[in-house]
Amino acid sequence: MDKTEFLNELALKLAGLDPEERKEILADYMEHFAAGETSGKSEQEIVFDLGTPDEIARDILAERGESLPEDSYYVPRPSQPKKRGAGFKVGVFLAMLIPNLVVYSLLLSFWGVVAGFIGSTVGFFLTPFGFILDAVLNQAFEWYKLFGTIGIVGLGFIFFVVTIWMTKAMIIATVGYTKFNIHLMKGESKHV
Amino acid sequence: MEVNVQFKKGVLELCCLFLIHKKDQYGYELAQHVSQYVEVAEGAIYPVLRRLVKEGYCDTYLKESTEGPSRKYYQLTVKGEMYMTELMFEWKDFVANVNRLFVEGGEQIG
Repeated sequence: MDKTEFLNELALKLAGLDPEERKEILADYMEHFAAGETSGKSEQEIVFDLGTPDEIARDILAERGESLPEDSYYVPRPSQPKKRGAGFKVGVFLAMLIPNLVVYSLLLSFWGVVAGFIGSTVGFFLTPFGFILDAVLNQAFEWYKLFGTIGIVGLGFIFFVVTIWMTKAMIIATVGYTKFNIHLMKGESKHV
Repeated sequence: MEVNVQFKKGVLELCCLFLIHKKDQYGYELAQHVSQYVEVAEGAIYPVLRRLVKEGYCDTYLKESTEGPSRKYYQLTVKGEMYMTELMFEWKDFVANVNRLFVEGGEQIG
């Protein structure tokens, strides 16, 4: 099939459309052919990549007959009546401003605690190096220091577990709250 | 590869929005960029573009080309930018959930 045959068949299949619109659609495909030929493709190649006029026409006609094939799209299309306007979004933003400030400040301070725990954990795990350095440099090996170091490393493990758990909880809280905010702004159900 | 047509159409819309958001482009160029990644009949792009324009997500303008007649370029409107952001968010969420289903294998099923 060459360009002329393709365009003729498409025009024929779109005969039911408003002439103006049909002309626009055909112009789009003509431009496509022109650009393809410029880049050195043959008409047959371009037709092959385009697909059949029949498919295209059915695509376009399906749009028209307000039977909305969009219903079967899995992508959520903004449903007009339920769509929240810009004004509403500003309202939500203002209403949520204070709670958001409070919640995010709290989240931030909790993150500070988490950071402190991370620091402590690292410190505990570094203790043995201090002990070794002390023993080597000062030529002073003390049993009580060794046991103290072992105890502190043990504490380090406990802190490590607690830190991991806290970090996880904080990530869940932060992400969850942020998502909740986004959904509130968008004002639609999560379900597609 | 015969994938559900409707499914592909929805993805095609998102791909077009994303590519136009990156850079204004004319139809043929857009078709090449999409088919570089996604196996699709290039002709299906134009109905999608028409709908995006009709719904106010895209604008068009004509620009002279060095080789031949002027071309119709597509650009996103502010509304289109917002719509794209929203779709991207939904898409990532959707894919992540489907992947989680695959990984967990529907273990909740008694």
